[in-house]
Amino acid sequence: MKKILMIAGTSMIFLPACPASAEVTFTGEVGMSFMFTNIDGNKTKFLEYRDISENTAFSNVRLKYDTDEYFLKAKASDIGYDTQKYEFEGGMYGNFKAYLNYSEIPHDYTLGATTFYSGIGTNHLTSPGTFLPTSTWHPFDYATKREAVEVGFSVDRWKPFFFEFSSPNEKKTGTYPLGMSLSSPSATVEVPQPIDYTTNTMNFMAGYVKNPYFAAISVYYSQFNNDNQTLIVDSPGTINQNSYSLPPDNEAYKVAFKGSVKQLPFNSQFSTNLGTGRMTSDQSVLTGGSTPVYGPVFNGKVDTNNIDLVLISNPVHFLHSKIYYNYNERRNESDQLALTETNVLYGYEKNKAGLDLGWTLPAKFKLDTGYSYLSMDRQGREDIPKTVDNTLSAELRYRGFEFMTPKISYQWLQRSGDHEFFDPAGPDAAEAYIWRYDVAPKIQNTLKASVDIFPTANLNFNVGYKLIDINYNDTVLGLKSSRSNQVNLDVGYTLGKFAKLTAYYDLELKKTYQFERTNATDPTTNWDLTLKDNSYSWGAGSEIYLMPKTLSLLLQYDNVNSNGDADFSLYYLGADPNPDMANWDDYRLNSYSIRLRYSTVSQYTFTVGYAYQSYKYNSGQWDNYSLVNSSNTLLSGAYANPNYDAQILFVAVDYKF
Amino acid sequence: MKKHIVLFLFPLLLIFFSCSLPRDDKSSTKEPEATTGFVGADTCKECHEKQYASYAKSLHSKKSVKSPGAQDACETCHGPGAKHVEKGGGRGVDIFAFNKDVDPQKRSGKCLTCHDETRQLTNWNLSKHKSEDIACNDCHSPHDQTEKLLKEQQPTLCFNCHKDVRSQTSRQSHHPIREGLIKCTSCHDVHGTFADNQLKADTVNELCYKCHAEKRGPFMIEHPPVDENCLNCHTPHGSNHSKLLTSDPPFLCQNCHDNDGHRGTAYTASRMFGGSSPDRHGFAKACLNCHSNIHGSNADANRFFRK
Repeated sequence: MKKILMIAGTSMIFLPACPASAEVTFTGEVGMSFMFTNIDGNKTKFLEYRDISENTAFSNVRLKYDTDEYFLKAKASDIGYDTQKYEFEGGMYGNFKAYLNYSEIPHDYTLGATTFYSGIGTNHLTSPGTFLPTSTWHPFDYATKREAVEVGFSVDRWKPFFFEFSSPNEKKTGTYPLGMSLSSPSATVEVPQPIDYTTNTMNFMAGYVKNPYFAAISVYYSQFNNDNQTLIVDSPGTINQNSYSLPPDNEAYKVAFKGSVKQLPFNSQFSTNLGTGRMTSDQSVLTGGSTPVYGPVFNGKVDTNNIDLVLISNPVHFLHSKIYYNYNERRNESDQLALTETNVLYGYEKNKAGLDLGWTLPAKFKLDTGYSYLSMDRQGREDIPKTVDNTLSAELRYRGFEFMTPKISYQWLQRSGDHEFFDPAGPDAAEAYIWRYDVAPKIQNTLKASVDIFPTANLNFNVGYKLIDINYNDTVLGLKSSRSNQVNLDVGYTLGKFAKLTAYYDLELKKTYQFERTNATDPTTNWDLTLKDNSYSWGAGSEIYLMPKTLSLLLQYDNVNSNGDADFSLYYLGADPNPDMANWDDYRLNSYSIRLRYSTVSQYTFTVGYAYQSYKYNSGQWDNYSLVNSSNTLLSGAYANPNYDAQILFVAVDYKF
Repeated sequence: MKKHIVLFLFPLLLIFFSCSLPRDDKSSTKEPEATTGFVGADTCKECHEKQYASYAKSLHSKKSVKSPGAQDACETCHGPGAKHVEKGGGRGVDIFAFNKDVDPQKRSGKCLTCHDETRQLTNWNLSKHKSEDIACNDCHSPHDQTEKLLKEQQPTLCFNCHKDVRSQTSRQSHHPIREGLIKCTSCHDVHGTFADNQLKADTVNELCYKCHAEKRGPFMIEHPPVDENCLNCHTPHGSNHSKLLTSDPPFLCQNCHDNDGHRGTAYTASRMFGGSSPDRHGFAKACLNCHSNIHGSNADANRFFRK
């Protein structure tokens, strides 16, 4: 971090060295905000992507030095906090640009989790020789932080040729909740997985752009390193060890060519995108069940190839067409190792072709129609290795009204494929009836409609509706249907120089139905589940100009609701009499804020405000959460009891120059 | 291998042949340039003082690059103003105004007069935004001094149209889009790409791996839906379920793994923490309490991603 600030500081010294002209401007903005926060309950969800303590002082700076030819920009926000971000950019207009960015992204999963293990953050979690009561477990946090540095430049000095280079490098550290199944004694534990990842990436592109031609070659290279390749966890109350395989170091590269030619006959443009890449990893296979024992080295190698060909034409004024073809391949050429079981190599080959026609119709109607054909051939899949999608779509828009723009679209998708696994007498007899939803034949209907209405210059409405209805008609066991209904409403009203009002309402009602069997060979053990996943959110805001351009009152209210429901039907004797769960990922996030903003003629802005947010979550899956459970299941509190009430009082001052 | 060579050579041949075809000059996206009737920016300023003041501070007024400032100032984009002045002005009266009722393709055409020959807009003709009649000035304000001349910052700007995404990003599990830590343009190129949904990569997984490189593998033991498309189980913008999952385990997993034993068991209320027979396959993270290496593993005999 210090290095970055030094580089940035040094670059600012050169400011006066830039050739000055009569139109030199130096502008900027400096801001400070003070937050006084009180959080009751679990802080995790409130702080998930934030870094706010009881008393927080955020500072933000934005500077810009600008001449007719040169520019230099510096931006810093949340200085000193885990969300801090610094951006430095400079260059010569139309010639070159260089930048240096640094940013941090925190992610809190659970603050205040608890465990009996020692060695948190390392790759060996040790257990005391005897089992300890939960009251003696020690607290820790599940949280990660990404620290990213990116440098880059682009050169346009030698037009029509251009060059671009960027190198984002990221370090991710922390811990993440991991479930493990242990032996000797048999137990299930939740433990902190150490995260010490480094990803270094380089992107380079060089090309030519001058009508009618565009051509560019790009190279992407990325290297991922994990400081911990294996996690060793002691069985609770013993010194017996268990080992767990962590993500291997890996590399990826891709070379691509993109090109296009415009001004072809029939007002056409031809574009292409050709890419070939490879992902590799080499890691010794973890073969030991207890203390880590490593077997042969697994050489992972997956090649990817991509081809896009697109021809766009506008042969007559009322017709636009697009003919396209896409080939995408994931070819798995990794080692196949004959260990306990020989690993299966998965890959796919995708061919997609389609035609889109856009019609400009009389009376300001526009109609877009489309057809696409997609074939997927999957390497290694035994169930449904090949599928074909046929998709038809149409969209009608009308621009004839001055006060509204309506739009409606419909898409029909049919996926076909054959189940090729058949073993009627074998142990997997039921397999032939399981049609997995990622590949299962289906009919999918999507309907969208929306209308923007603006009856007067200061009033606007927007109404949108979307239906996605999927039926997996051939599926006997598994997901059989899914339906989602969405409605979005918006209204905005400007009351002259007095106020601006906005409100919205978003609704999604989602329902899935799955049919299952407990015992593969016994059809009397069937059950089904209808899952409802309903979301409602609404809010309203206003900006009231108490003194025009000087004093404003801003009010905002937001409410996000989720209401899920798990509704079972059990078709067997002695079935559970009360199987259903009326609360399934139910939550309510309530927020409101009130702010008073005062702007002076001398470019000062003062803001004082108060914000309140509460989060209430309950779900049948997490109610009555306990750390120690039957069959030696020892949890650590990850994701449990996330409710909170937070209040923030804040004062901010900004100065622009 | 031969097939792949042919597939790679085919488009190159197409380019070669297309280059040798006669060009259709009518196909240019550039607006025809007027040569008479210019009145100069000082005349415009007399009536449009506020607009001129903001333009004068903007990138478009720079004279060192081929901007309106180095050409005919206001009239570079709005067209010659003599007739407009003669008629006493008025919105859109004998002048090109970037109003909502003006054909979006014409509005964009004005911008493309200069920006067509930039690498950023090479794929504009492929973009969904273009085919949906979104004009440049629906998102950009050419007179402003904001970053990239945007009318509003992300994600607010994008949410004006993408209301379903707005709703998803406010759900309990979400990428930090509203927090401003990642942007819509981190994943999407709004000016068009070859991929569906204007993604900045050829496939969904290729895009996700840029930030989640640890999922890239290749692993010895793979989970095929994972390698094919992350969106088989995850939804990118926001979900009511943890980890951006489309549904919660065990039910999500049972959509595919349901043929026997604990895989096929109905995890009803009685099997949750407060039930009569709590079951680790059902409560809390359910399947993921044990099968946590779900994205792939390099462990032998790992019993379905258990280590």
